[in-house]
Amino acid sequence: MDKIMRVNMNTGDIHQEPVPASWERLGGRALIPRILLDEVPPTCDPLGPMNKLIFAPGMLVGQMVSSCDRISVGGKSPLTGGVKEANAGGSTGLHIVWLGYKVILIEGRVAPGSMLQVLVITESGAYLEPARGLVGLGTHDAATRLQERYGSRVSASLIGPGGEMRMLGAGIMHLDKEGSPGRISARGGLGAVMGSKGLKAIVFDAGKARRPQVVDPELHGAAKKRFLKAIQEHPQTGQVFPHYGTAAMVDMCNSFGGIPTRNFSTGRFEEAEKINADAFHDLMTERGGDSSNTHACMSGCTIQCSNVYADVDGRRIVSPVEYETIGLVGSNLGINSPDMIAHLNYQMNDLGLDSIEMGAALGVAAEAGIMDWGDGERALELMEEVRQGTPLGRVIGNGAATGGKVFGVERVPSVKGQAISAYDPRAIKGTGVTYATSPQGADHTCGLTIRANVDHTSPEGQVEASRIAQISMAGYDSLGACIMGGYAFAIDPTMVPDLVNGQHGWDVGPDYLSELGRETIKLEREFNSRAGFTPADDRLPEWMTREKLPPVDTTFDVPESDLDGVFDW
Amino acid sequence: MASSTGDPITVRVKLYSILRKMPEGGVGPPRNKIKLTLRAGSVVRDVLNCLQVPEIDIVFSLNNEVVDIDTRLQDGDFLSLIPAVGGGSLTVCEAV
Repeated sequence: MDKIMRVNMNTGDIHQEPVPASWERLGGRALIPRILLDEVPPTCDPLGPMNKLIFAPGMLVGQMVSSCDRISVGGKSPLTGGVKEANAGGSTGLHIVWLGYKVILIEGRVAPGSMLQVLVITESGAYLEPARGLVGLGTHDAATRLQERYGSRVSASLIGPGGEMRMLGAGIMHLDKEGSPGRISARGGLGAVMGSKGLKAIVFDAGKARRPQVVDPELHGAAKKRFLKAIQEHPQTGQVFPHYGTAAMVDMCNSFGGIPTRNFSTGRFEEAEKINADAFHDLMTERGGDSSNTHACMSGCTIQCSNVYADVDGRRIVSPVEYETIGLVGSNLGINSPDMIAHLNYQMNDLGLDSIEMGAALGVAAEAGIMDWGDGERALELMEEVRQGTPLGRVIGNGAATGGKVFGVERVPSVKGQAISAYDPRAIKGTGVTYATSPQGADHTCGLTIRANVDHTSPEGQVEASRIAQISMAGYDSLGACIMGGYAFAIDPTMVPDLVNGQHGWDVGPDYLSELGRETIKLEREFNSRAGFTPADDRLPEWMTREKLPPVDTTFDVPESDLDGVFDW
Repeated sequence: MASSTGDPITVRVKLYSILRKMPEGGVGPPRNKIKLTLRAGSVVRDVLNCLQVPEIDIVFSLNNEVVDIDTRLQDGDFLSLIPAVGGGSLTVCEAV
């Protein structure tokens, strides 16, 4: 039933193929490096015609199992030069599976000077047409026009001006279940890849198509019920996240001395309580209107850690405001205003840019004296420079590493060219190991260790913590399972195999998640190796090994020989 | 409560997110700051028992240092109780 769609942007040819045997038992993040190894020259120009943009739903997607309908987008990253997978919620994954596709491959690129295109995929086939009236539009207006043109029930993945200008901080926005472009495959510049192909948007019209039959409904249904119960009973997924969202991390990370503050110069923000979960929660409760402390980013998700943030009059500003944005756009810039963080978040979403990369780039800009710490209005002006495509705007839109080079700043928080997320690796050293060694570049979602039972400021035990987390995360990312559900899955290790076997009729064993995670990382490292990566790329910025982080007063001191052994399993 | 002699101690406690005491009917600000008088020799665990804090994973920040549940408290201490969160799981692959 599953098939592949190939879209050739050079010729406009679109055709379907059966799934090759070697791809059948892979999905989501795991499928992306397999396809890259099979079809993309590792040393190709990521923004050239040889790269491919891959949309691959995870292996559990399509059945509306809570928090398991994520879409993985991938390709060779123009930001890191290596393998890239960036997953998101929204409705894209669900619609691709309902339309009967295992993967959609965007190949080649339009002729220079051609108009951007829209790819429309329906039950009866697919076609390309010029993106008339959409070129240069922000993602919010573009999404509205797409829904006016193709129907209010369609889903879509699209780029903003950032992707059109091939900025390396550009991601791909996906519509949430309310039709707003609030979910993003953020990291690694995949929006620039989409722009380089000449594609503004993909519209998914599933029509009357719905979830495909599972092979063993009894096994699948029972596992689904157990998972739902586990989510509801776990304090994190059943109580904290549904009411306070990921912003609950602000106080935790601040207490560990690891929240990025003023371009990672300290790990404790003295005004954290103005931008913590309680501040956001109480403001949203007080304001009412469009505000909501609880919001599901995917249909059927019961964790509902997303939110809708509104202004004093109860009018929606943006959905969601997440911890990473609060950390990079708030404390990292010295900004203490939830409203300002929300407005900056909206602009970044509208431009189709990764808020982690933009927060880090603005931090580097502030270090260079281009804005003052805490000056949100100036940050908004700089986002407008990005929108206008001015030279300064293009520097920032291309991310922290580019900014560091242009502005002559040494303190650049990035690995493999990708910005570090909102856990300072000197305070949470296991996550530092992940940043250094993940084939994806610095990315907390590849192996967050803040809950590991280790002394986070000691170099001891961090490699083991990171290894376990990286394997788990790679497994979940391949299933299309949100990592927020990980603690619920961990309660009963039979749930993942039962869901997979029930859906596909396979016979995977109890170690499946671990095996899948290892296979994924192995494939990713192979692609990176062929692209020219060496152990020298698996390092944190040198200044983080030299500059002590207040208040924990340590450098990143996990030995390089330990970093080189992370994947010796 | 740990046995000890000496004068009682006073500890200020701050509660975060779901540990805050929400007002009846949801009207008014949540209560999140509590001053406790405890026996000398009390530890963090005694605060949890005293406040009947739910059995969830909590980060204990004592005077801005993360401590464990058996850490002894001193008069004038400031203790933050922060529900622990994080993405992913660190237990599924323990066999690695």
